[in-house]
Amino acid sequence: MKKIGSLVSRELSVVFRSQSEFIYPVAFFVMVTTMFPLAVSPEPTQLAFIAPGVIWVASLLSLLLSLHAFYQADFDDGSLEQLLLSGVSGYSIVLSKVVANWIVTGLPLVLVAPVIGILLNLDTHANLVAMLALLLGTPSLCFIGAIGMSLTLGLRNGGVLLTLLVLPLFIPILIFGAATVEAASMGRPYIGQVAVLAAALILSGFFAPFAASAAMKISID
Amino acid sequence: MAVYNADHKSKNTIKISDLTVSRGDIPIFDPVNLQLSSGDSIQIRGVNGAGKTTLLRAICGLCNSHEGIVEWNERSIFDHESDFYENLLYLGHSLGLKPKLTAEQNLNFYRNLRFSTDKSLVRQALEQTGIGGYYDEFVARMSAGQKRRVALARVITEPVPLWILDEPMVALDIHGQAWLEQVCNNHLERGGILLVTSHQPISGINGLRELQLT
Repeated sequence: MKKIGSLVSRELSVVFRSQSEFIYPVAFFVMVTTMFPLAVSPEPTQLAFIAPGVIWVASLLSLLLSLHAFYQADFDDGSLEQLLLSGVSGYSIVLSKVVANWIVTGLPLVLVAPVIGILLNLDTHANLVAMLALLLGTPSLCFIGAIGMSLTLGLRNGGVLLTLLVLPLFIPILIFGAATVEAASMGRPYIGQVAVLAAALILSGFFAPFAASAAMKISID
Repeated sequence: MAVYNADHKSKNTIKISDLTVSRGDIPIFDPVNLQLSSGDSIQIRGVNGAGKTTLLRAICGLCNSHEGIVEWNERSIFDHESDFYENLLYLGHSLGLKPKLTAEQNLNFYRNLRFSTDKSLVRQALEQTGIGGYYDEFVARMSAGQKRRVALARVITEPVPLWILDEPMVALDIHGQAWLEQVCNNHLERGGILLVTSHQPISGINGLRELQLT
């Protein structure tokens, strides 16, 4: 536990040295979502209709953008092999990276989403539900992304491969995340979708670190 | 040296049996058999591409395509991974330092993973390696030799019995090399084990055996 603590705090202090890591994904999220009123239609009812999907697709893509920074640099400068050789389990390494990744990227998205929701004419209730859905969904995305990132470490053009590997795995989260917000904006019950998101988080949180640490050990060879 | 007080009381052995690594189906070097006990040191020699780095990485368990057995205290390192890794310090070509952290932060972090925090020891270690004045300098701003010294300071901040050093002399000046040889001698006197590769001749380490890779 102490080890995970010091791993997470190192991740965070490295990231906070260069602010771009956590500003870029959020800026990307804001930029992409504000494109939709311009491209589709500025009409409020139309916007409210597409808002859940737009928010979820944009947050998924900006999380994908952030993954690289958390794994590739450690691989390149030899930190990753030093971590694996220092007696810390692969599970703890992945877990701490996911936690740091979520704090730096996922959490800001959760906080910014309501602002974008207002922009896209989501009502207050649906906005709060969107925050809840993102709060449960984004950590799962980070966990799934960790598997893809660990598999593509050290590959040339790994970024494209990462996208192709990981985006299909994001689909269930996307479906239930957007469905949660949509149900809330139409005044229908959404507890079922929220439960599925929570279940996905528990599943991915438990299994993904095993898969990712195994992949990491293969990549480091 | 003041900080050198941790003796490795229990006797340790590392035994390497028929270890080889293949790329494709072709083995890179002939099977290596080696046994080192407390106080033993060995230099792995060979031309460029002979597989020195690969051998050291295989001993650390970082190669997936290896054949053979590595045992630490008569237990396979692949079955008792954490037991082995707690006793191992491997420094390779990539130094594992975060450029965006200071020298002190880097050393503190690695020490913290195995031992309790000891900030004065970290400062002392940097002092000994001759870069004491740069403890709060970001590693990104250091020269190659200074970075190497920061990485090598880990042999003092993390007193473990088994050192595996891949080309530790690279980028070090004469004083740095002499310091490293002295530190290695101290380590061996205290019952440590050392595996090292180097293209520079190492004359200052007592009882250094040689293994030629073919």
